[in-house]
Amino acid sequence: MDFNEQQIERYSRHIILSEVGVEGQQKILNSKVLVIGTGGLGAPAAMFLAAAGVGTIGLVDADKVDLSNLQRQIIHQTKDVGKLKVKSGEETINEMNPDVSVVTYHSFVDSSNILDIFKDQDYDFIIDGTDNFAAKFLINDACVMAKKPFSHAGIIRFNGQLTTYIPDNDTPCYRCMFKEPPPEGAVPSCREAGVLGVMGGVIGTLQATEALKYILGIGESLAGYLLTYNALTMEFIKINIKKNSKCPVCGDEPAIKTLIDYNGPVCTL
Amino acid sequence: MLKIPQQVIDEGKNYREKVADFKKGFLETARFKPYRVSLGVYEQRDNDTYMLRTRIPCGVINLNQFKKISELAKAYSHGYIHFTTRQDIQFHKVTLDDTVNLMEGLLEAGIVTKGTGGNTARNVACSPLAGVSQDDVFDVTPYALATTEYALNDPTIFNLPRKFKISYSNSPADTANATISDLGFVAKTENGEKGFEVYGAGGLGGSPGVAVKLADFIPASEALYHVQAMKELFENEGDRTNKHKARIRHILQRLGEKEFKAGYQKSLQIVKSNRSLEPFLPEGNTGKQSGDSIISFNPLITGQKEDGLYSVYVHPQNGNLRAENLDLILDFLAALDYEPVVRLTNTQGFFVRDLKGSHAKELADLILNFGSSFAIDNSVACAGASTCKQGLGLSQNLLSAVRERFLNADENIKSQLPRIFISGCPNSCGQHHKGEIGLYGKAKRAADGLVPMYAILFGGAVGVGKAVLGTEFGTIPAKKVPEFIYQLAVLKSNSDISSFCRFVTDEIETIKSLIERFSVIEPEAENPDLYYDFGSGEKFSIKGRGPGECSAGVLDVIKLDISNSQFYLSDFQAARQSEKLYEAGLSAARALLILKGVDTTKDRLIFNEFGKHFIDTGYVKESIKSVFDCLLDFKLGDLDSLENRYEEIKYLADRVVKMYESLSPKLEITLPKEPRPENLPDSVQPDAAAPLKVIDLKGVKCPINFVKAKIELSKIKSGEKIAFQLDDGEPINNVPRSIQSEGHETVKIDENFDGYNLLIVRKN
Ligand code: HEM
Ligand code: SF4
Ligand SMILES: [Zn+2]
Repeated sequence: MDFNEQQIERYSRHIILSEVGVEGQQKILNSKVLVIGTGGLGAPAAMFLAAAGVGTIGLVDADKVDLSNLQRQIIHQTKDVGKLKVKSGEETINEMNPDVSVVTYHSFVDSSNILDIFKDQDYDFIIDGTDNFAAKFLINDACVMAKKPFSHAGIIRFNGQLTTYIPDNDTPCYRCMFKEPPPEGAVPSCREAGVLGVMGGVIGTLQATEALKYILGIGESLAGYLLTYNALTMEFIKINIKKNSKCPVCGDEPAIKTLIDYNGPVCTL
Repeated sequence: MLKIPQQVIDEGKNYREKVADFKKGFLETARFKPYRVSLGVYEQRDNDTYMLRTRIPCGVINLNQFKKISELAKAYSHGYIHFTTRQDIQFHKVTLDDTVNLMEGLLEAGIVTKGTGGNTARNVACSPLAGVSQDDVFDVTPYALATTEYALNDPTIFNLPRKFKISYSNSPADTANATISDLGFVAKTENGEKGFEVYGAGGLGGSPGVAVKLADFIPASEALYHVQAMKELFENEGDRTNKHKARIRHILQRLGEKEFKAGYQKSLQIVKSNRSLEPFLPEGNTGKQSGDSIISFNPLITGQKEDGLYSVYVHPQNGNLRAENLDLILDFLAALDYEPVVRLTNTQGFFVRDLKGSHAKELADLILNFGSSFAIDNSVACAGASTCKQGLGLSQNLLSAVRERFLNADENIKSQLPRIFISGCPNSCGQHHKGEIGLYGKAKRAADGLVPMYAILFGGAVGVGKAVLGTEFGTIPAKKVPEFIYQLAVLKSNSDISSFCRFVTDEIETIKSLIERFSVIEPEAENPDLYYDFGSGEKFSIKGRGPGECSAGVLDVIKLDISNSQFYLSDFQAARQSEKLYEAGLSAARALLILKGVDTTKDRLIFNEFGKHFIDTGYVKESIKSVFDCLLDFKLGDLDSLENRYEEIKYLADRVVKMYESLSPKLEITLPKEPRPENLPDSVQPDAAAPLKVIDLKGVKCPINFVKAKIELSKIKSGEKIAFQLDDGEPINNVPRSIQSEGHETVKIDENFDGYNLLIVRKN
C-alpha cells in the first residue's frame, strides 16, 4: 500500500521514528481496535488511536452524552449532550481523521454479545474503558477465552491503574490479580467517588500507547505488571504480577468456562 | 480450627510418588531438594537422615492431633519429638521412607508440613496464652489463624525472596516476638475498638535488628491488608540474588527507615484500593468450666484472667519430649471431665490451658518426672551441630552440661538466673539475641587447633518499647561455659540484686573480668578437653559443616535448570515429543539469567533476555534468535513440531553448559565468544546491471524529505541501491545522517550539481 501525500504529512512524525517507520505505520493503518466504553478512559484512548491512524475503531457504549460527562470525556462536545455516545464519538473521529472507519455498537457488553462484537471485525486489540467491576471481569474472561490481547484500566479519585493481557500462556490476567469482583458496596462506585478529569486522559492515553506498541510489536508491554499512578503525589509504581496457575479463568484447570454477568453498579466515568 | 486448602493437602498426598521417583533416579537430587524443603523435609548432618517440620498453625493443636503425633513418633522417629522456637513440632532422625509415612499419618490428623521450609510465610506466631493471660488485651488467635489461612491460600506466597515471619501478640509483653519479626502485630484497644500496633522488618540471624513501628493503631479488621502490603513490598524490593541480603530487614537497611516506611505506606494504599480483605471472624466464646482457686508458687503454673483457671507450662529438656512422657500428660488430660486447651510456645515447650487449680497442681507435679521448674533448666537450645549442617557448636549438649552443673546446686543459686537462649552458630535459631542471657557457637583457631567457643550476650528483650538485641561481652571456650554460668549465678546471689537485668548493669565490671578469666585458651597439653565439644570423642573440626538447605543458592538454581534441559533433551530422543524440545530450550535459556539479575518465569521474557545477554554479546550464535521465535510459535500453537530444530536446541543447551563451566569465581563467563560471520553469502548482492532509481526530493523540506526517502527505501530489497536528489543546506546536512542512523549505507554524496546534491544509498 502506498501513502498519499496527505498521509505522508499526517503520519510523518511516526514514519521518522525508526521503531515505527513505513512498515509500522502501515501496520497501524491495517489494525483494528475495539474500545469498550467511550467515557473517561475510552474517549482519550479512542481519540489518540484515531489520530495515530488505526484503520478500524469499534466503539461500544449504551449511554447518551450527559452534561456531567464533559468534565473528562473529551470526545464529546457541549453540542452533543443528549446524543448517543457512540454517535458523538464517531462524529469526532470522522472529523479528525478520514483514514479511520468507525464501527459503533449501541449496547452494554454482556455475556451474550461480547464475543460476537469481538468477531464482528476480528479486532486485534481490546481497550477496556469501562468503569465497573462486572464489565471488567466480563471483558477479562472474554479476552482470555477468545485469546484477545487487551488493556485493563481503572481510575478513581486521584488514582489510576492499568495492565496489559497478552494471550501467550505466561501473562497473568485480571483475575489472576483479583479473583472476583468485590462485594457490592465494598468499593465505591464512580457516582459516589468522583474523579479528577485528567485521570482518564493520563491512563486512557497509556492504554492507547499499549495498543499501539502491541500493533507495532515494539518495546515492553505491561504484561505481567500493574502500573499505578497517584496524581496527588505524582508517582508511578510498576508492580510485578505473577500468573496464577490456579486462576479460575486462565489457570491450568480453569473453573470458569462460560461468561458470567455480575450485577455490578453501572455508570460511565 | 484452620481450614487447610485442598491444594496443600493434595501436595502432601503426592509426596509418596515424588520420593519413589527420586529413589528410582527419575528425579535428580537437585530437583528433589527444593521440593522436599518446601514440605518441611530437611536433610540432617548425617546423610540420609531427615528431619520433618510440621505446621502447627499458631501453635494451636488439639488433643487428638497430639495423640497422633505421639503414635507417629513411636513408629518413625525413635520415640521422641522436638518442640521448636516457632511453635512447631519436629520429628528428627527419620529415614526418607518414613518421612512419607509420617506425612501421610499427619494428614490423617489434619496436620500439614507445607511451607515450613523454603522461601515462604513460615508458621504465623501467636501468644500461647492469648485469650486467657492476665495481661491479655484481647484474643489474637482468630487473627493469627485467619492470616495462616490467607497465606496458605495464596500460591504466590511460596515463592518469596526469602522467608517471611509474621507474629501476633496479645499484649505489650509480646510473647509472640512481634517486635523482632518481619511483620508483627501487638494487640491494643483505642476507644474500645480492637486493634493492633504494627511492627515490621525485624528479625534475628545475619545482620539482625529489632522491628520498626509501622503504625500506632490499626483496626484489627485491617490486619490482612498489612500482611498483603508487606508481602508485596517484599516481592518488589527483596533481593533475590543474594540470599544473605534477601530478608525484609535488609530492605530496611538498604532504603533507610524513612524510605522504607514510605514504601510500606504506598504498598498498603495500593492493596487497600484494590482489595477487600476483611476477615470474617466468628466470635467463638464457648462457656468454660468453672474453676477452683489455689495458692501456688510454682513458676510453671500461671493464673488466667478467669478466676480459678490456670495454665501449666510444660518444658521438656532441650525441647525433646519422649512419647511415653507425652502420653502421661495426654492420659492425664483425657481423664478430666472437661477438655483443656494446648498451645505450643516459642520456647521449645507448650502450655496446657484452662485447668482447674487442683488439676493444674497435679499436672505440674506430673511433669517433674521429666521436667523442672527452674528457669535455667527450661533454657532454649537450637538443634545445633549434631543435626544441623550449619552448626558449629553442639548446643543441645552444652545446655545439658549447664543443667548438669546446676543439678546438685543450692536452690538459691539455681533460681538466680533467667532462661538462657543458645544457638549453635550465629544464625540465631535458638534466638540468642532475645535472651537476657544468650550464647551462640563459634570456632576459634588456637595454636594447637580449633576450639569450640560460645559468644556471651546479655540484655536482649522483646516487647513494646523495650525490644533490644543482646550485647556481646566476650567469648568463652565451650567447655568452660557451664562453670562460667554457675559462677555468674553465685556472683548474682552475692550481689543481692534480684533483677538479672539490674545485676548486669550494676555489676558489669565484675562480670567482664569473670568473662575474661574464663576466656583463656590453654594449650592442648595442659587442657586437652577444650579441643573437644560436648559429647564428642572427636577433636573439634568444622568437617561435615555445609551450606544450609534453608534456601537454594544461585548455583543450585543454575544447575537445576541445566540438568532440566539435559533431561528434556534425552527425553526428546526417547519419545520425539516437541514439548520436550521446547522445555529443553526454555530451561537452557533460563539457566544463566539469574546471573544477570533476571528471575522470571515468563517464557517470552526469558528468550528476550537471553538474546540480550548472551546472543547480542556474542557468546551464542545469532541464529538462535530465530529458534526462539519458533519455540514461541510452537507454544502458541502456530507451529506443530520442533523436530527440525533439534540440532540448534542441542547446540544451545550445550553452549549454556560450557558457559556455566567457564564461570570464574566472580561468576563471569570466560568462554570465548562465537566467531561472527564476516561476509554474508553473495545471494543478496544487488544485480549490478539494474539501473539506479533516482528520486527527486528537490524543494521538499525537512523532515518530510527524510520521510519520503524512508518510504522509497521501504519499497526496495535489502542490498539494493537508490539515489535521492536533495537541496543544499539543511536537507543535504540532515538526511544522509538520518538515513545512516537507520542502518543504511551512504554509498556516495555527489555535490557536482547545481543547487542540489545526489545521495546514493544502499539499503541495509
Ligand atoms: C541448615 C539450615 C538451618 C536449619 C536446619 C535450621 C533449623 C531451625 C530450627 C530447627 C529451628 C527451630 C529451633 C528449635 O526449636 O530447635 C529454627 C528456628 C530459627 N531459625 Fe533456623 N535453621 C537453619 C538455618 C537458619 C538460618 C540460615 C537462619 C538465619 C539466617 C535461621 C534463623 C532461624 C531463627 C531466627 C529461628 C528462630 C525461630 C523464630 O523465627 O521464631 N535458621 N531453625
Ligand atoms: S543456630 Fe545455627 S546451629 Fe543452630 S539450628 Fe540454626 S543454623 Fe543450625
Ligand atoms: Zn488469570
